[in-house]
Formats: sequence, structure tokens, C-alpha cells
Amino acid sequence: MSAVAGTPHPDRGSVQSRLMQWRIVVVFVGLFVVISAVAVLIALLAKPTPIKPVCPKHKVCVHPPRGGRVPPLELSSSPRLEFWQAFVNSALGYRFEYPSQLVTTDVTTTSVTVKPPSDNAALIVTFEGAPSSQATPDQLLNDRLNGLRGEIPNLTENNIGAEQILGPEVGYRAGVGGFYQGDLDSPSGLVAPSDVAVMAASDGSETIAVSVISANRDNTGELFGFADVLLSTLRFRGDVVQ
Amino acid sequence: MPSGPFCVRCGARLGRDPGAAEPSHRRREYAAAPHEHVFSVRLVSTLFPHLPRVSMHGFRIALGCGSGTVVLLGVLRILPVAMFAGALLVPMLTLLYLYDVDIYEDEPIRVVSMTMVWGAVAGVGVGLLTRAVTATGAAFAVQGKGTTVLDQGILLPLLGLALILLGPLALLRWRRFNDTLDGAIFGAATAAAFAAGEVITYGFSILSGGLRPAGAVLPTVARLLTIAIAIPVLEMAAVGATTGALWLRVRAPVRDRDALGVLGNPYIAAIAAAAMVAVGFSLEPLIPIGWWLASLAALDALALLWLRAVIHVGLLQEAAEIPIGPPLRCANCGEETPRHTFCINCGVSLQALPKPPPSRRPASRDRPAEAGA
Repeated sequence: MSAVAGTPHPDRGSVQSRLMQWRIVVVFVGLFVVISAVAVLIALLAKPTPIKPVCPKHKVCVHPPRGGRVPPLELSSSPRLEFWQAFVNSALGYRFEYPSQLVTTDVTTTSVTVKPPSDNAALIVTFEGAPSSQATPDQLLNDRLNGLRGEIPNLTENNIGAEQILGPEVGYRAGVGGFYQGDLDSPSGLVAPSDVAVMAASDGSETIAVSVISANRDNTGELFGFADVLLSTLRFRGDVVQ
Repeated sequence: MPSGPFCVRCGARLGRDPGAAEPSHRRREYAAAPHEHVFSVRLVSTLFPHLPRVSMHGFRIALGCGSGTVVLLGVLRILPVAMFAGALLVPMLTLLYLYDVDIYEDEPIRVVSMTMVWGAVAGVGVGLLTRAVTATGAAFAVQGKGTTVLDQGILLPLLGLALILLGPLALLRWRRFNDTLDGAIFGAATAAAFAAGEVITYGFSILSGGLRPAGAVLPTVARLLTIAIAIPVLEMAAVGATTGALWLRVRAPVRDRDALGVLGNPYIAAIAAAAMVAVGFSLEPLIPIGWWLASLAALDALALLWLRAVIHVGLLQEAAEIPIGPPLRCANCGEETPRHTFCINCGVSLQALPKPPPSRRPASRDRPAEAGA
């Protein structure tokens, strides 16, 4: 109380706190244990069902394995290429096709991102290319991973999950790659757990890296399956028949 | 005037020659914990200044145990539990502190409603708003850093800061909460609850990753430390210093209102707090997590020193114009001291010690009043 506010209470200054030192610790630990138990319970209830891998281990698959059902693409019986839009990179010439439900964003001379229009989309596919003289598949893979660590600081490789990449390939060229997991992070807090597949390969004249991000772990298998179909349309410039 | 190391009226260190003693505003001993230097970075004595020295040890142990547990959970990658526990670590300590030192003054519902409950509600609201207006899916990974900095580094944190201040402002009407220390603690408590409410609401979807999701350990631990300590401390200290300055301006005698200098102006203080919070949040997308943690720690240190200065100056201005009373036993040092404003032996401000329980207080005489001393 300030000078003009009047007299301080006679006992002020002689009163100890309500809890003794050890009681503070005991009460705090008790509260902490209760909160942790509640968090464990919630986490267990929200735990996603594990997905069994489709491909057996040690067997090279044509495409990265799919962990679950492939979502229906709602394609007609007509040939698929007639219904998908084509994207051709202006500098490197690689091309791929994507359905009308997706849009291309962040287009540069070497890279492009394909995603659903929504800001809360669960799937993002990013293509990044470079002349082979400037980047090997390993280098481009590491560049892509370093870029992703800006938004997923705890990104780490997971070689035991159902989504692991057993035979990485890009544009039907064998390459390098892996399956990674981490948490999307923002200034406001942790955004969502994310699964990431990153692969890179070269045809000798150009190198392409592809990253597929799923921010919906419950449906990663389906999302990666969808991405597989999209990636199956990717071709290096040298493989495109004019 | 009774003789002793400190003046019971102004808190000045008297030394051997009381006549030659320096004025109280030059004392180096922190008025709320005189065994510490006023310009030292201390968490417990700054955020929980009413605690007697012996109780501070209990809070330090609790804070250490809690932080250690959060780090251990992070190392074991039990992320959802670590996030919950980390987010609630400082708010739980704050709630325990409010109860321990009985800062409510017979008004627990009003004080807790206007501080911690309001902070938690505002935090949940801002967390939901953030999820609604920003990218929360995989699209976040390709969102431009400029957008993230603007939305989640500046605009939303400043909105949160403004909401936090509303709770303590409502308590400014009651004259019984007229200590600068009251204002500082109300602001800090509201900010602690806000930080927890926001981070839990915004990060709730992290639970979908399971109990033990994959992730590199070191960045995870660094992030948990920002959630558990660095961000709540920054917000508590910045808001506490702002509300402390506000209380000093509105509740202190006119002669004392400029004691804090430029930062005693509530408008300047609010701008400084906003700048600190905005810088703290804006750095997240721009630098690696370890450097962000280090930057937040540096900002925490600055904000704590500021809050400490506000509390120190506020307590030194509280010299009651009353006659020196009968001796009482100081709760901080255990020695006898004449009843007045400061302990004659340790120099602690008696206003920075726990309040008497309701049964030992005079009947309430307080009503909401117009602001102004």
C-alpha cells in the first residue's frame, strides 16, 4: 500500500506463507503427476492405429509402398492423362501431371509446389530440380531436408515405420530417399505431427528432388498413395517424347 | 529512529553512520529479496516476489523438478505429455504462489477470475483464432516466412498482449489492490495462464501423433523449454512490468509517479512489452530452434530485469507515513523488527511478504473506486 493509502496491517511482514517448503514441493509434484496422467490418457485415446506395410521388407517395390487404401481419384474410364493438367518446368523441362483438385504454387525456375487450395490441406508435394552438374541426388535431398527443418525442426528419419521408402525413385530413375517424421512448428506452438517422404534421383543431365508432406498422420498411407499416383506422371526432360 | 542495518521507513542501508547513509533509491539490495542484487536475473524472486526467503527455496525446487521432468519427457520423446506438463508448469506454480502468499485479500474468486481464469480463456480464444486464420496443415510447411512472422510473430501475439491486459485492468478499480506489486503480480499471473491456454489449444492436434511420436530429441527438448519456461517468463515479465508501471502511475502518490523514468509511463511500457513479445515470437521462423531458445532467454533476462526494477522501485515508494509500531518477527529473516515498511535487519519490504490470513484482517472496507490515488 502506498503512503497515502493508509496503515499497513499490523501483522503484515510477520506472516509466513501458507505452505511450508516441503509442502510446496509435494503439492506441486501432486498436481504435476495428475496433469501428466491426464495428458497420457488423452494421448492414448487419440493415438492413431498403426498401419501395416503393404510391401514386405527387403523387397524392392516399383513405387514407394503404400500404407493403406489408395483414395478414389474419381477418374472416368477415359485415359487419365486427358483429365489431368500438365506442369512443365521452364528451366529444366521436367514435367508431371496433377488433377484439377490441386493447384500449383510457389513456382520458380527450378521448383514448384502442388497442393489442395485450402490452407489446412493435409498434403503438399514439392518438386525441386537442378542441373546434375550443380547437384547430385544426395545434395538435393539434403538441401530439401534442411529447408524442411525450418518448419519441422525435429525432423528425423524413421526406418521402422510402415511408410519407409524401400526403393526410392523419381521419374522412374532409382535414387535416394527416406521417410521422415517430425512436428510442424510455428511461433504459436506445435502445429501438427507430420510425415515426410523425400526422394531424389538424376537422369545424368538433371537432378530432381521430391518431398511429400502429410500433416494428417491417421491418413498418411492414403495421402502417400495419392502422391504415388501423382509422382508416377513425373518425367525428366530427356524422357518426354515431343 | 531505531538503529539497524536498514531504515524501517525508506529501506535505505544505514551503515555505521546513519546520517551519511545513501538515499534508499540507491540501495543495491532487491527490496523483495534483499539477499539478492536488484539487477540480477532471478526467476523466482522476480515472478513470485511475495515469498519469504525460505519459501523461495521450495518454489525453486518445484521449478527445477518440473523443468527437469519436462526435459526428461522430451528426451524420452513422450511429446504430448511433455507439452501439456511444460505448458502448465509455470501457471501451476503461479496458482500455488497466489494461494501460498494469499494475495487475494479475501477476494479469491474475483482475483483468480480476473487474472488466471481470464488469461486462460483469452489464451484458448487466441489459440482457436490462430488455428482458424493461419495455415495449420501441411501447407504451413510451404507458407512464406513473411506471412508467418506477420501473423504469428506480430499480429496475434499483440492481440494476445492486449487481451491479457484487460483482466488486470479490471482489478485496477479496487483500491484495496493498490500496491505496485499487486499490479505486477496480476499481470504476470494473467500472462502465465494465457501462455498455457494458447499453446495447449493451438497444439492440441499434436496428440494425433500418438504418445511417443518420432522426432529428433534435441530440437524437441529445446522447443519444450520454450513452451515451459522461455515464452511464459517473457510474457509474464513483460506484462507484469507494464501493469506494475500502470499501478505505479495510477495508484502511487503523485510525487512517486515518475520514479521509474520513461518506462514508468504505462504507454511506453506497453509499447516496450509489445516490442519484446513481438521480437520473441517473430524470431521463431527465422532462426534455428536452438538460437531461438537462446534469443528468448536473452529477452527473458531483459524482461525480468525490467520487472525487477518496477517491483523494486514500487516497493521503495511504499513508505507508509505512520508512526513506528511495536516489534514483530520478520517472516523473511526471522529477526525482530519494528513494525513499519522495511525490516530493520534484512531490509526486505514488509509489503513483499505474505498477507495475513483473512481471519486476522480487519473487515473489508473496500469498494470499487475511480482510478487515482
